[in-house]
Amino acid sequence: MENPDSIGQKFKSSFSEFEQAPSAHVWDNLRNKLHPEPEPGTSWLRKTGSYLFPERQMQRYIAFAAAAVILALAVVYIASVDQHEIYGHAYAGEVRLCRGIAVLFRVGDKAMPWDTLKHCNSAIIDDNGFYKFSKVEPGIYLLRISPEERSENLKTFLPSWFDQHENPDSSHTIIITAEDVRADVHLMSRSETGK
Amino acid sequence: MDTEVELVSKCLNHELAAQTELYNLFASKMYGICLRYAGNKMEAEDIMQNGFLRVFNSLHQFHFNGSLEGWVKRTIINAAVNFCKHNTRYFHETDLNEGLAEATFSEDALSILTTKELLAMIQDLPPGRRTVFNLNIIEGYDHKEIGVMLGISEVTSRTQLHRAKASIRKRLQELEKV
Repeated sequence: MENPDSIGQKFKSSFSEFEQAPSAHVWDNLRNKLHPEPEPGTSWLRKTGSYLFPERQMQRYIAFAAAAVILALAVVYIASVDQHEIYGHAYAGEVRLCRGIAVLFRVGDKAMPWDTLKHCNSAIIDDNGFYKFSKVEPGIYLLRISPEERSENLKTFLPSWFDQHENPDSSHTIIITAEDVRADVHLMSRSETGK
Repeated sequence: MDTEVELVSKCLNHELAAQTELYNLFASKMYGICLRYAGNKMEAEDIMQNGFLRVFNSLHQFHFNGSLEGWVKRTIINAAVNFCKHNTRYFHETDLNEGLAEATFSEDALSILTTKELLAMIQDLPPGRRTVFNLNIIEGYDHKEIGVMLGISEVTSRTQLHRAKASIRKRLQELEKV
């Protein structure tokens, strides 16, 4: 006859020491979860990081900080790649202008008349007549130069738009796309304009 | 071989060699447990994998108050229970009778069964019955504890065990006839 608890006894005794080896892929999967394969080429970085910073939390902070720095550098680089220079010399007649002001305007219109001139930057023209605008973004620009106030040049020459123009609508535009632009500017003579 | 303290310490430092050693130390025993809670080999491997993942991820909670093996075993059983809880619909069977009238069998039929055959019987049980059977008969938890573990009432746990035994009795009777 059946013992009321014979099933329990049989199963308990049979399984008390029961063992069976799992397939190798169980550990392979588990190992991959515990130690995911690093991206190719980053293992040296990982090893170095683990050696220098054995604490996992610290490794995370370092990794986060490194990622932030790389991102910031990338942003700066991308921004700088798309910036250029406008430079050149200003002339008063046949000689270089000794001191003055160069003013750069950005044009918002696609065609003349320029209704949306926006002051972009100003630069000092040095003793050698040289001026330079750095970090200029791609776009359409107008350039105006003036001799130094109360200088002898101002008596002879008028403040002028690039190049030898009295007003912006007749001025030449400077178009920045992917390269620096050299723009030598000549002042208009008062005697030519009758002013 | 490292002592348990060294082994645990190295595992906490995520040393692969130590993790491999700990796994190899208990893999066969724990897989034996997983097989009892699973319906097949594939489910057992899932439980095993999730269980050991828990072991490694919560090893910092082991404070050497008992044996490492006991702690690993409890963690694996918890993973198995969790696996079974995802099949909660099996805990709420509505058909109470389903032809499970008390079957009788001889002791001889039971005694000649191999562990492999007994394992097949357990795996053939519905997940709810299988889990309660394992927890009560083999692990030794009482119905109150099982109720808490599985989120079921004590009565449901008793009913599941009763049905599990009835299923096994029926199977034994069938084997006897063959």
